[in-house]
Amino acid sequence: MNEFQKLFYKTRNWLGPNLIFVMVMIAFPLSLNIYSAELETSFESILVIALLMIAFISSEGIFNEDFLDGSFEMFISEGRSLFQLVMEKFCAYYFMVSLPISLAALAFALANGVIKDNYLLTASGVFFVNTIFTSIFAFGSAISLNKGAILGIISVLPFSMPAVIVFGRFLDNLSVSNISFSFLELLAGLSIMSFLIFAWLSSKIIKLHLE
Amino acid sequence: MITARNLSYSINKNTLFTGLNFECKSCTVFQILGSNGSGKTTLLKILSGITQPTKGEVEIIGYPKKIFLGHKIPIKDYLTNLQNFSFLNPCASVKDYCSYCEAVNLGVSKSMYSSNLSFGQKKKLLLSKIFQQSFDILFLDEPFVGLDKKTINLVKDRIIQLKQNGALVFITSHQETIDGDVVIDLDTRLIDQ
Repeated sequence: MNEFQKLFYKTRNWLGPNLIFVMVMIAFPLSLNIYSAELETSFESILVIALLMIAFISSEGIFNEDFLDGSFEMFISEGRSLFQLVMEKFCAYYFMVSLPISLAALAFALANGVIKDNYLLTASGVFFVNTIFTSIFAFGSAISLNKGAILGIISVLPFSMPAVIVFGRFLDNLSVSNISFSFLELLAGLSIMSFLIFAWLSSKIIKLHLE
Repeated sequence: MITARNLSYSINKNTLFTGLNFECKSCTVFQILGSNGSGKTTLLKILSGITQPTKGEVEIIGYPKKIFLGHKIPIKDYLTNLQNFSFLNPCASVKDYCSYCEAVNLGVSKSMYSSNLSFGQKKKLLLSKIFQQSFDILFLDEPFVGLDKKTINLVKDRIIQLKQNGALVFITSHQETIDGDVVIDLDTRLIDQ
């Protein structure tokens, strides 16, 4: 049984963040005014805040269970790669949380009239930025394995700021295909880098915790 | 197969053991004795590669298939018994699960969630790993805790069987003693061969 199957059966870890995201995005137009022109302008900030929140919630306990129940110890003793296990966990979260959220974000962007076309670009942008946030907060979770999640989020939050800035510019320029595509490429690059770097760092931190 | 040279381990200025030297070959049961806090689990973790010693080194020749089964039980409460069994033994089938349950008297439904299992039942599910798979080196930390008499005897028999098949078994146990070929007492640092 791989990490994807384990996450699938642990429903609260992937369904919870998805439902919270949907609830936040539904509550946002209700709190302003459904017909307000402010919907379009404030959509971006709400989206970024919701994505940050969801990434934190979903990755908060990503390593806790395996650390506490001795799965990591058994895994290491078998001579298997912890880096590979962490990468598998990241991929499972990308698939079960980031992907549905990017599709939901696209649906809400359409409903709020933020985008008229560029559907694929929008969904891809949200997916990449969510994977970046997930990788960063998962690293935070690894740092604070036995010290509480708040310490982790405080220590890694600054890492997410460059991605927030690039994502903001990406959304601003969605109507200009050439520019937004460049920003999407930048987000994709950041996503791959953060995936590899934070997975590697997380595996080293977990090993240190075990020692 | 495993050589320990000048092993020492200290934590928070508290030295658990120093200058341990021994060599273990296959077909051996290596029993580690000692009082609470003497460093039995730590020594097992060092030998299995989970923890690094403060000083000294552990040399393992070749690439043996090894496993560490400690105090903690990596059984997931949100998975069913069969799913946990498959997670621990990826190559095992439903038939293997049923025959194992029958052997160790684990009379639980395969579709029942493991959150309903007692400590002993979870331990039995975990120990399925040594019954379903073969290992070259086993590190067993208090494997008999929480088990009934019948299962303890089955585990002992399996350990002896694995040893006869060429395995090297490291074991710590307070409750039930198993006749070790080599016994190390961490309190006295005596090695009895």
